[in-house]
Parts: sequence; structure tokens; C-alpha cells
Amino acid sequence: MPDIASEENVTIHFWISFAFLITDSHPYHVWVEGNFAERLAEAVRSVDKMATRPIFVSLCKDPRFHGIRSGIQDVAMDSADILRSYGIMVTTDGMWRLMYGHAGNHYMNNHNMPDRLGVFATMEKFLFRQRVLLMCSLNVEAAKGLNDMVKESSMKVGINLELMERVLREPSSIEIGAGGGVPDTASAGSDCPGTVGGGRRVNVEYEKAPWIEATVRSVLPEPSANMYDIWFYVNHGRDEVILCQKHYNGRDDEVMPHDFMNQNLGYGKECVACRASEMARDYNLWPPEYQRKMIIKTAARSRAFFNIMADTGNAITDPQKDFVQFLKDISPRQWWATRDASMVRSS
Amino acid sequence: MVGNKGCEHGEILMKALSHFGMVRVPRDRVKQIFTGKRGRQYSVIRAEFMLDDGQMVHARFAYRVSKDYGNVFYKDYLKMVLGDDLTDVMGYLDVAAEKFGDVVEMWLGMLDLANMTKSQITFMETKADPGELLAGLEASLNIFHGTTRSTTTPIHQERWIEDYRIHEPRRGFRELDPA
Repeated sequence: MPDIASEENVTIHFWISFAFLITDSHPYHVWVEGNFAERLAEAVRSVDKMATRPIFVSLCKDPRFHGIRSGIQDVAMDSADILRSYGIMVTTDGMWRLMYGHAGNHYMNNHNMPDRLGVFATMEKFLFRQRVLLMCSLNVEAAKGLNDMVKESSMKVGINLELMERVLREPSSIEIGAGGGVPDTASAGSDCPGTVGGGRRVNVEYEKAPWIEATVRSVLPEPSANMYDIWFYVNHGRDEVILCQKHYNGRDDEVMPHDFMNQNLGYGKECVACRASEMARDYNLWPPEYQRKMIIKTAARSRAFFNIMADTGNAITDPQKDFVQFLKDISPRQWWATRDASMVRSS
Repeated sequence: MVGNKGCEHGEILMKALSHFGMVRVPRDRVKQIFTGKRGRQYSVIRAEFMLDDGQMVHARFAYRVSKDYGNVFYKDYLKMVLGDDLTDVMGYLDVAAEKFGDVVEMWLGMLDLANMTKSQITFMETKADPGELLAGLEASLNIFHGTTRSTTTPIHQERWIEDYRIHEPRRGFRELDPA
């Protein structure tokens, strides 16, 4: 084997699970900046420019690994598209799916400390796969030899074949993360073709926790102002009737600095810009970015409450079917009755 | 539902939803309001957005004007809408106006959130567009407001009088004394 101490013989592999976006918060609260995918792709590309060999990127778009479907999957796909446009080899299937199959989701990996052999073995297997792919792309003749080498001697390729075969056997006792299911071992066996030391799992069914169904398809912040929510744009060059004389300048508002438009000039009765500044001052309104996050977060919590109530046999009636019953379902009468009764008792 | 004692943190969620509960005002009425110098009776929030004119993208401000009709009005409205079901919905007789206000505001806030996040979250088990439901509710409230005697809570009256006292002298002229 060649000496890999020299830089030009090193192949760089990126395995990005995106689990770091979740941290300790609830997966509903995962937020990324709007240009996160672009910045991530640019960072990988900068490494690719410095590397002498092609690099490999494995991005996780498997929601089961994260425990919930969220905007992370969209980030992974967006990043993959950008990286592919740069000519970088990207995979979004296989590795993280197998990682989940062998060791559960990242909560299991991080908190419950399961046997890590499955994780490392999965990584090593994909490292080898990608190495073979790289060698095939560089030297077609070497491909067959590499495949033979891994069977003949583990020392030659740095892989302990016996250990790999042992740890890559289908696990039969590892719990599968938050879903609580177990792998469908009937669909694959250790002697199935396709992978080293184990078969590829092609049909795995998992139970999901109820809150996983509260799908947040995309948590990328959207602009809060849009025509459908009765927001309207004020042209500081035309809308004289709803602006004071100082905010109205007779020209397009490109020449109006933002800090000036944010000023309260004391004409809240007749100027929408002054009134907005008054509101921000009097009620300390949150910045728009935070406001949008609050909206999504509150909506997600509401969704969770709807699910919880449905699970406890108190499903909310469809307002189209019975509006009064819908109102009864969402009215907080029980809490009031309990609180007022306690207040009467205390008084 | 959300204020249900058996539902953990339901009370907090109910209050959070009610904070979003106001009746939105369309642009044509905004012109009437500010032309008539009634802007302080309404809430205005502002957000920056990017306006794309096809050639360039410009940073602009968008505004949203909304109205809080007050708890007394909401109580009258619920009495009109629910009739005999009112006691059943609220749980018992002689409920304070604030609680009616919370119910209607929570209702408005829930629909507004469902409308604003409908591309991301579906939490109302209905096929109806939450934006249409919200528009229908707002239209109903506006019609009721236009057909009944205006009722305001004392806190609103005090706020308007305070606004007049604080802001009018600053403008350098005096209007007729409202008294």
C-alpha cells in the first residue's frame, strides 16, 4: 500500500448528519438561516478546491435518523443539488439509512450509548465503498484488484474483515430510536448479496411516535409579509393619504433611509409609519425574524395539542361539519371553571 | 381545548394564541382610517420584505393594520352567534367579558396562525382554507360591529383620551376639545 502520510494521497470524506442542528431542543424548533445550504456548499467546495483528489459527501436526508421529518431534509437536498452543480460527488441515500438501521436515531447514539460498533462499521463500510468508487473513477483496472484485496487480507486495506462481518450482522436486539420498533430482520440476512458482511435492508417498516406525525415540512423562515395575510406595501412616493408630510417625500422610497422610516414623528393618528413606530415603542414588538419564528412555533404547538387531544379521545370537530361543536371543543371552559372555583374558595 | 386543565401548558398556549387574535383591516379601509385621523385606534405592525420588480430587488416595508374590538364587543358577538349554546360553551353563567374576549381572540389567532403557516403545518383537521375561515369570521365581526351600537371597554377610552392629551400638543395646534 502506498504511504498515505503525504497529503496528496488523502481522500476527504464528508459525512454530514445535520443532527447538530437539533441540539437539545425539540426538533420542531430547528431553525436554519435562509442561505445555510449555500454556505455549507461553499464551505465544502473550498475544501474540494484544496484537495488533490475528488472528495465524497454523504448528506443525511433520512428523517428517521433525526427522529422527525423537518426542514433538515430540505436543507440536505438543497445542499446536494448545489454540490452536484459544482461537480462534487454527493450521496443522500444509503449510509445514513444504514446508520439508523444499525444503531437507531441520533438520540440513541448520543444519549443511550448503544454499542458503537455498528456505527463505526457502517462508516468503515462506506469509507471502503467510496474508496473503491474513487479508485474505479481513477483507474478502472484497479477496481477488481481492490475488491479482491478486501477479501484476501484485511491488513492491506486497513479493515479487519472478521470484525466487520461480526458487527455488520443484522442486529436483532437493538431498539430503533424514538419509533420504538425493531428492524425487520426477515427481509434481509447475513448471507444476502450486495454488502460486505450483511444484506441490504430493502423493506423496513417502523412505528412512529405520535408527535412525529405533526409534520413540519419546512422550517425555513418565509417572509412574514405577503399579500395573502393582508399585508400591504406603502409607497413613500405615492401614498400621501396615509403618510405624514415628513414620511411622504414625493419620490420612491429608495431614497428613504430605514432608520428615518422607523422614526415616530408623532403623527400616529394619520401616518401609518408613525403609528407602526408607536406600536413598536409602546408594546416592544419583537423583530420580524423572531416574530416569524414565534408564529411557526406556536402553530407547531397547536398542532401538537390537536394530536394530543385526538389521542386522548377528545378530537376537535371539523368546523365545517359542526361549527358550534368546534367552538365548544376549543373553548377553555374546564380551566376557567376550575380556576374560578378556586378563586371563590380562597375569597 | 387548549385551556383544558387536563392538557399540560394549555393555558399558556391559549394566551399565546389570543395575542395573535385581532381583526385585520384591508388596505382600502386603512386609507379611510388614516385620512379620518383614527390611526391610534388601530394596531399597526411593520415588517421588512424584499420587493422584486423584475429587474432589481428592493428592501421595502410592509404594514399590517388590525383592530381589537374589545372584550365587551366580543361578549355581545358571542351571545348573538351562540344563543342558547353560550352557557354550554363557556361552562357556566355570568362569565366575565375578558373570558369572552380571550375565546374570540384565541379563535382569531388560531385561524390566523393556521393561515400564515398553511404551507408548512396543517393543524386544523378541515379541508377548508383557514384563510377563508378567518376572512369569514372577520367579515362576521365587522358586520356585527357595523350593525350594533359601538361598545368600548373603559381601558380603550382611557387610552384614546391619553393619546389626545399626549400627542396633540406636540403637533403645535389644538383641535376642539372632545369634551
